Amino acid sequence: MDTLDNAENRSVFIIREAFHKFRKIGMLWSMGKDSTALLHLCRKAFMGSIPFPVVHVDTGYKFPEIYKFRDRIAKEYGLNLIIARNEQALREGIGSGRGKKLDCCTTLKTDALKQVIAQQGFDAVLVGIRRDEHGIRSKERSFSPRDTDFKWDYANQPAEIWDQFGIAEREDLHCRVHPLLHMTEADIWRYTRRENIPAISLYFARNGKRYRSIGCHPCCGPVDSTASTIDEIVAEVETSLVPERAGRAQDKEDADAMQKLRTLGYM
Amino acid sequence: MMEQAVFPIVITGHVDHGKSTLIGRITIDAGRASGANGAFPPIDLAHVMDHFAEERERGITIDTAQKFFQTPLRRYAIIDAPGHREFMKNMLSGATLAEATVLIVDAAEGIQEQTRRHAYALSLIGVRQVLVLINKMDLVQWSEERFLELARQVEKIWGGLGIAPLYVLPAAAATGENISRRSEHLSWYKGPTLLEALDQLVMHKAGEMSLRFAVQDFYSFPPSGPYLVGRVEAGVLRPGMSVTALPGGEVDIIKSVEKFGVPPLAAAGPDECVALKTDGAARFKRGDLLVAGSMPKVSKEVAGRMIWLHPIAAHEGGRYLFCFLGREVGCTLGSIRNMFDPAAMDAIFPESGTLYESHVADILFILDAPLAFDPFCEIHRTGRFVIKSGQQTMGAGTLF
Repeated sequence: MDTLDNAENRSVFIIREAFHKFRKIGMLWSMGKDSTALLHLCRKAFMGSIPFPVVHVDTGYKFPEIYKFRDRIAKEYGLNLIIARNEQALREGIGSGRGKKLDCCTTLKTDALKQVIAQQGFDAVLVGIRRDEHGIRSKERSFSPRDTDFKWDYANQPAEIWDQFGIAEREDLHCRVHPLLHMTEADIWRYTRRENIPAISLYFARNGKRYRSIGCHPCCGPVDSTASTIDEIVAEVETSLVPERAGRAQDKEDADAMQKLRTLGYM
Repeated sequence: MMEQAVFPIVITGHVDHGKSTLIGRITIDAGRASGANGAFPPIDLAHVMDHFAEERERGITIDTAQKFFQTPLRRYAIIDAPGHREFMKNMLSGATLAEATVLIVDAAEGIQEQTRRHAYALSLIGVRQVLVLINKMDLVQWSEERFLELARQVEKIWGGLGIAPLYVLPAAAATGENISRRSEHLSWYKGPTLLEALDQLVMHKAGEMSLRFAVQDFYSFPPSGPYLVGRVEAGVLRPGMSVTALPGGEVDIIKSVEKFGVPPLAAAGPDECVALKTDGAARFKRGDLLVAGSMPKVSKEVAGRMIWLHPIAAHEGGRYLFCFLGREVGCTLGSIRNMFDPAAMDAIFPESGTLYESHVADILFILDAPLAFDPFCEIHRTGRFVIKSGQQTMGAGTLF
C-alpha cells in the first residue's frame, strides 16, 4: 500500500467507528479542499450513500464561488445538506469590519455551530482538520470531546491507544471527530488528484495569485503562485516554506490566537 | 512510482533529555521545519512541537504531537511523547502508533526514571526497533569513554527486555552534531548519523500471517449492499475464502471484497478497510473476528500483562470494560500478580493483589463473554487490549 491508500484506510476506519459509536452525527463541510476530501471519504466509508447530514456553517461572508460549488455538489451527490447560520448575529451586522476578528469568528462560526448542534441533537461532528495545518491542531486526537461551552480541555485529552477511541462521557457533551488528522496538505492534493475530487476554482492561480486556504472573503488573502493545475499545486506545496494558513487573518491577531479560538470551540 | 507508506517513529526518554529539541532539529535539518507555522513567531528549537501556551511557559511537553519530515528514502511521521510520569497516557497515545523509537539519554545525567519506564512501556506494547541517542555530548566534552559507559548501561536495560538496539549513537541535537551531519567533535565515532540510522529501520509486515478480520459494522442501507465492513488486522482476505466467525464459530464463504468506486478487489491485506458480501453477513456483528489459517484461542479467562494509567489503583475483584478491537466486554480482575515499577525494576510483589498507577502486573481477567484472541507475541493486533471504566482509559496491555 502506498501513502494515500494507507491514509484512506485510516480515514475510513475512523469514520466508520464514529458512525457506530454515536447516536447522531453530522459532517462539517466548508467546501474547501480538506472537507471536500472528507466528503469523498464518507461516500467511500458507506459505499456511496452518506447516512447522515452534511452541515455548512455559513457566515454569510463566503466567496460566491463557494456557494455555487456547494449547491452543485450537494445536488450531484444527493446530500442531506443543512445550512447553519447565526441569523441573529448577522441581522445585528456582525462582520469582520467590526471589532476583533476573534469575536467575529467565534460569533459567526463557533456560535452558529453550537446552534446547529443543539437543534439537530448531534452528539458528534466530523471535521476535516489536519495535524500539519497548525501547531495547535498537531495536538488533536481523532475523537476529541467538548463540553457544553465547547471548551477543549487540551491539557487533559483522553488516551487514544490502539484505536480505542473515547466518546464524551456525559449526555450534554459532544465529540469532534477528525478523520484527516494524519494527512498533510500535499496528501490532500495528491488524493484529490487520484480520486478526481472536484475543487473550487479559487485554489487555481489566476494572474499570478491563488488561494491556498479559503474561508470568508474579507479575511482571506491569495498567495503568489503560478500553480494553475493540481499537478502544479502538488509541486508547489511540497516545496513551499510559506505556511498554509498564511492568508488567514484570524490566526494572526496574537501569538496564541489559534489556541484561544480553539479553546472557545473553533474548528 | 509507488510511494512507501509514512514511517512513524516516537521520540522517548526522560524529561529534559532533549526530545523536543531533537524533533526541532530533525524537522529543521530535513527542511520541513515549521516553527513559525501560521501564527507563531520563530521560537527556540525545543518548542517546535510545544504549541500550547502552557507548554512554552512551563518549558515542558504535556501532550503528544506529530510532525512530518522526509529523507531521500522515505517520509516519516515523528511523534513527540511527553517525558513526565504524569503524562504516561499521552506518551502511550503517541507510542502505540509507532513502528520504532528513538530513546534519548542525556550524556551528563545518564539513565533516569523515565528512561527505564519508557523503555519498558515500549517493549510491552511491541515497539521493538530501537535507536538510542546519547544526547548533549558537548556537556561531557565529547568523551568516548562516557559514551561507551552509557551505551553499556542502555544495552543492559534493553537486553533485559529481550531487545537489542539497532544503534546507540552519540549526538548533540541542539547544534545538530551527528543528527543529519557528521561532527568533527565525534571523530572517534564510526557509525551512522541519526537520519542514516532511521533509514535502516523496516516496516512491520502482518501480511504473511493467518487471516484476522475485525468486523466493525453491518450496513444494510447502501443501494449495492448489504455489507459487512471492517479491517484486515493480519493476513490476506480473498473472495472465495472460507472463514470462521469467532467467538460464535459459524463458517461462511466470502463472496466479494469491495471498496466504493473501484472494481471488486482480488485481495485485501493488513490495514485495508473493506466491505464484504457473504451469505451470513447479516448474522455477524461488530466485534466478531473472521479468521482463517491457524485458529485463535477462545476463552472467558484471559491472562496478560498490563500497565495501569489511572491514579486510582486497581484491585482484585474490580469491574471494568475490556476493549479489544470492536469488542467491549465487561470483566472482573480475577488476580493481580507480580506488580512492579518499570522505573525501578528491583522490587516485584508476587502476591500484590493491587496495581498502582504507572506500575505493571500480570492479570487474569474473567470476561462476561468469550473472547477470540491470539497471544501478542504471535499476532500483535489480536493480542492487545485497553481497560476502561466508563469512557476513561484505565490501563493497556498485551495477552499471553
